[in-house]
Amino acid sequence: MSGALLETRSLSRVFWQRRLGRPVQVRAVSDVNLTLGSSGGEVLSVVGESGSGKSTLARLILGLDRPSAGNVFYRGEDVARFVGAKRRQFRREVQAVFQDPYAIFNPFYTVDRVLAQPLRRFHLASSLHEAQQRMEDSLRAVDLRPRDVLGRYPHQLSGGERQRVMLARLHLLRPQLVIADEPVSMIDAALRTMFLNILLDFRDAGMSCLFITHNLETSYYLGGNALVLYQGRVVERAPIDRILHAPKHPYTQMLVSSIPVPDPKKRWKTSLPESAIESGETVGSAGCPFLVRCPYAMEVCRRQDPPMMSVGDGQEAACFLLADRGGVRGSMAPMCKAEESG
Amino acid sequence: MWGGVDGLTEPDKPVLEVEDLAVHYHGAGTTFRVVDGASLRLRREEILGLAGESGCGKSTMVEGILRLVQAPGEIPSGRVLFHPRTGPAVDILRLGAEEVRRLRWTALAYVPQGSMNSLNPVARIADQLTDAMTAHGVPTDKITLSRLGSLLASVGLSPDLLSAYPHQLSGGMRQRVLIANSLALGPDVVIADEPTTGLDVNAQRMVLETLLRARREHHSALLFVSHDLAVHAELVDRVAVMYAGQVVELGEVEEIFSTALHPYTIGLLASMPRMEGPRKRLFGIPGLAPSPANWPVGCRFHPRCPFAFDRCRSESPVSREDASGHLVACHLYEPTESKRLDAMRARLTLDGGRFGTRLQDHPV
Repeated sequence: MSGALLETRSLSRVFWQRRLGRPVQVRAVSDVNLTLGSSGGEVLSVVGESGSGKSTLARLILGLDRPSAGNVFYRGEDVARFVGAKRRQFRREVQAVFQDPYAIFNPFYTVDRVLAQPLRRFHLASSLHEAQQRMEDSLRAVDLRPRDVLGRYPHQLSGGERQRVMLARLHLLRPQLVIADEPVSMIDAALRTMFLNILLDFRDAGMSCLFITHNLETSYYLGGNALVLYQGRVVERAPIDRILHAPKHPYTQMLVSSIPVPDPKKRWKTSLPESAIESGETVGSAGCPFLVRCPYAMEVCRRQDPPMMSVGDGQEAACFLLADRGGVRGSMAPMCKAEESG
Repeated sequence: MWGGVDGLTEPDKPVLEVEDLAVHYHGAGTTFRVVDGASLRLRREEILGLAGESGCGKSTMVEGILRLVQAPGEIPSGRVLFHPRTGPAVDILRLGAEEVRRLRWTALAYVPQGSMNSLNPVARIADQLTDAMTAHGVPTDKITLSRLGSLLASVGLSPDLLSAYPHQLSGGMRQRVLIANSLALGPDVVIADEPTTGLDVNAQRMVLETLLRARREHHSALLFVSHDLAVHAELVDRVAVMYAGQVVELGEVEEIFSTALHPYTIGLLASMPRMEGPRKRLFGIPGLAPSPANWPVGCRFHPRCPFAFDRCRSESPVSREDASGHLVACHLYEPTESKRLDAMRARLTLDGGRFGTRLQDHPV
């Protein structure tokens, strides 16, 4: 068994949908392998558009959904087999942060509960006084005054305060691993910065993070490695700097070129081809999933599923264009911002 | 160009002027002054961005401009002057209900927040576009398939989509159908509230390109509301930054991004992750946004402003405009406070643009 903190092996999740009366297979997650090392303090971003299978992947890793094939290992043990004390320990060490700061509170209880319950459940405080103390410390750490928050009901807090309470919960529990599913897409710039800084602080203290996002800027800020998901498949993986500055897969290149840059002097000079967003029908079992949208689709892409090909520097992408080296980089130029301004 | 119609060709000619607009809501024994003295001026054929964090009153301001505020909300004061291409200006807030109805869509079109999910799921796109046009008085025989088709073409969509149902379209395509819909009657002004929020980057880029094209082909002015500054950088000509129900800064987009004046704008820009240059730690704006039930006295930003001084705690700053038309409401820019302004600039340079501090460090 490997020494990884988290590892998925050939992880897949298939859903069945009925289309025109016939059952159709939808591969939400398909053959995903990822690893977070055991030394801690690692960040792995999972990047993709909506519908790419990001959230399904998060649910599988958290054990909230069962894989159709493949496994999730936490410290070398299969998450699906956790019961009793093991399961509780997993629940304590692996924390989830979700997108919606509104949906996570039970409106009938005061917000104290989201902080007090884990303290009680995981026996993290030896006395009521200590519990209170720890709750207050964690609230202060996220810029909240305990007296403004404790004893209140969720509806009495603003959206920003609620999201901060969830951050305080993270601070309180100091998990080994955080699975963050689009945690910053609904919050404002100032709070987003604070959230990312807290993740960075925790990372420096040894916490690992699986950061699921459609926002490449925020994953760049966190650093680490990234993998790009398209229709449930990993199409590219590399250090995030390589993903942003030297993307190899045509899909990644398209994503990166469409990120708005906060500089009015560097606007897009060309327009995006319509095919770039046309959500084509899912390709059958064979062939590249990106085929329909790809400006460089070749004959081989129709017949065969492209395997991961390494391009060095810890970067690999699933694209036949890389098989003969070259080709992709120059020809994608019109869509790439860096090359336009040069 | 349209400016020539009545012989007036000044590029700065306003099409919409909002002066001291207030929109208040009453409830739970309190008055929520959501928009409270906001002013801006939209020029003909320009794209003006309205930026600010959620809860600062952006959407409510738009509803105020369009007279869409309903009880328990009210508009206690302000003026919204609309300048038609010909004829005298009218104050939308003083018009009767029927007159406002006639202005909507023909003069002022609106793409509300999240509206791409509000298309009728059981009606074809052609029927939905037709409905909006007939509701605003276009005779049925004037609505031809070719007219609808060219409307879709003007937002970069194939006329074939006229026979499609909304579920056959992606989110970005639905958003573009709504933009086409808003352009149907050639309005002077289009107001789009967060039209790209919730879209993937490619779809977002497509919608932004559509808006640029709409301005080019329909000569409409656009008031573009978004909390995302990067999107403003990509699209707009000028930006208005709102904080606590007021416009605190307004200027050319290049100026806002190169030399923002208001400490709030500086803080917003400093909290944006950038993908170029060395990776450095960002510092957000300390504290929380205030509540519209209880705005801080004096400058509303003072509790969060690292540069606040005594005057900011008691006196609200008035908006002042420099020679280039850059507006800012901050005491630091009054001539008598030039020393403090120099001190702020020195501090920002020293910190390498780092703004504020985390109120509390929390070693783990």
